[in-house]
Amino acid sequence: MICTRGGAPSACVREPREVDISSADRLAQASDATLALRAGDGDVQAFEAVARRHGPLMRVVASRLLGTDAEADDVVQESFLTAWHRLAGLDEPERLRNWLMRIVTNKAIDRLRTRRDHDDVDDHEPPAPRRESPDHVVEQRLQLDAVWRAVDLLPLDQRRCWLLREIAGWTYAEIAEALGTTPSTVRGQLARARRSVLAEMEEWR
Amino acid sequence: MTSPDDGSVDGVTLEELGDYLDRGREPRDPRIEGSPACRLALQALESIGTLSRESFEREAAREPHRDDAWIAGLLDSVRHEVVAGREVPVRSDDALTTLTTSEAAVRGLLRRVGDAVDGVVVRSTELEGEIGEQEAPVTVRVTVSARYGLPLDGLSDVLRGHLLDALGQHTQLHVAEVHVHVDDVHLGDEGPDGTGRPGTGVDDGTDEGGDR
Amino acid sequence: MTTDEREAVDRDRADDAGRADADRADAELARRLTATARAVPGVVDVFDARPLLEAAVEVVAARLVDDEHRDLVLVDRQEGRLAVTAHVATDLAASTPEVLARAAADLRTAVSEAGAAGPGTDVAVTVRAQLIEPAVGPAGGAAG
Repeated sequence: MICTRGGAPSACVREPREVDISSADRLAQASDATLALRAGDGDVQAFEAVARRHGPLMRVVASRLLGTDAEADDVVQESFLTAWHRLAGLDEPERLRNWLMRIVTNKAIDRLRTRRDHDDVDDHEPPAPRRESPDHVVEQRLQLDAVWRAVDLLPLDQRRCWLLREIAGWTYAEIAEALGTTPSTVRGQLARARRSVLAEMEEWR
Repeated sequence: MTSPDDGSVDGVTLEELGDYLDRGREPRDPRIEGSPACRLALQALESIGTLSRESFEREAAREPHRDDAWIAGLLDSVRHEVVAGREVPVRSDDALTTLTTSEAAVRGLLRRVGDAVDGVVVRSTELEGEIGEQEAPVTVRVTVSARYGLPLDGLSDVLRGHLLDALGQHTQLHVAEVHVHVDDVHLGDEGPDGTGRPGTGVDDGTDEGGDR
Repeated sequence: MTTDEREAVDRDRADDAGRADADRADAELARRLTATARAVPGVVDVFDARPLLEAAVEVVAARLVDDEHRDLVLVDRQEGRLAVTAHVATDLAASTPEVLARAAADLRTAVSEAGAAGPGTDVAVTVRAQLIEPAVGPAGGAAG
């Protein structure tokens, strides 16, 4: 690529190979809005950056909602495929993360419904695998461990209300609809969940 | 903060407090806002929410890099679905030979060329006009994010020039106009070790005048 | 079976056998043309130009077949016409219109050298650039 145009000095255009090496880097640092726009434009590399950036959290949320890691992987994969198709129409690209959260929680809830319909009882689920940090000196880490454990100890229904409210930001009405109950029940579940978590954190302190 | 067994603070139940918090504390409830104990309780509720989110983010960050197989599969599916869009014709001597370039390829080219200009990250691209018709005038629109501090006019001009060159090199489109729109600004993304930058030239802080 | 019926069966079998031979020849042609396309200076990659159904069926088999031996160029034969379609990626550093023209010319030459189109058979060649990107590694389109 040429560096000057008509004799006037101009910003140098990098050699193609350098562009390729650094393009993944610059995409990794681009804002959510930029990535959303580019991926909506058809840029697969930008979409990859989106998947790498948001995939892990989506998987954690799906896994806690569903109770298994394996299904969580499927749900996240499906969510990204859906996202790919709808990205071009995303009105507020800066709200990419919330939008992705919404897709993955919806799909996880759909799975739960399917399970219920097929009478797969999942009330007994293993606690979340705890990836403990070997270094127990940092208080912040302990605090996060404590809240993670606290949420994990919640009964299933309360935990789902918690996740949908605190992590995914859904309204009571949305949560009620998703879980097949009423907003006032959701409010009650949340209150119980909050009391438990507060008590758990209190003990930790 | 200790919660009494029935979960209420100054006569306000935890359920009400939670509801109030989830409503964004609107409309303002003087009974709750007027009670220091309630406000402390709200603070505690808010903080466990934040901590919970942080614990999830931390958990996500700990995910082992089994990402890669998963991502490869996802990208494979996605690549197969890239919509080519319209076809941009290329003149050929021969009625039995058809040469075209997909719109997707041209837009990818615009992205590449735009990204190659220092300080520019392309956000979206558009080809307006009857690109399927030889000789039909086409308007090219490119929206970009520019690095903070760079003089935008100069940047747009440079970018426009490179886009025109690339379109001339790779298509036979009759480009009537190239619009460059900067609708976002980002902070510098290159570290002190000059990652990705050619090492030559003096960095005089402007986008004109040599290698960066 | 009557003589007529027997003759009809024999004719059908001969037709089928002939068709199978023709199919094999065209599949071989498609492989050669794929190699031809890869070798065009300025062609950085060759994509599958075949209709989705065919491509999907080959998905499992493709894993086992070397990329170089796959037939990605579409060869479609109809009465009096042989249509060849190639989907390629062109080199960022080259001129796409020139690369496409060169690819079409090379494909025509290869068809002619293979004797795949007799007199009276039109050869229609379509080359479509679906991606423009830098060549990785040594410059030029020569591939294995």
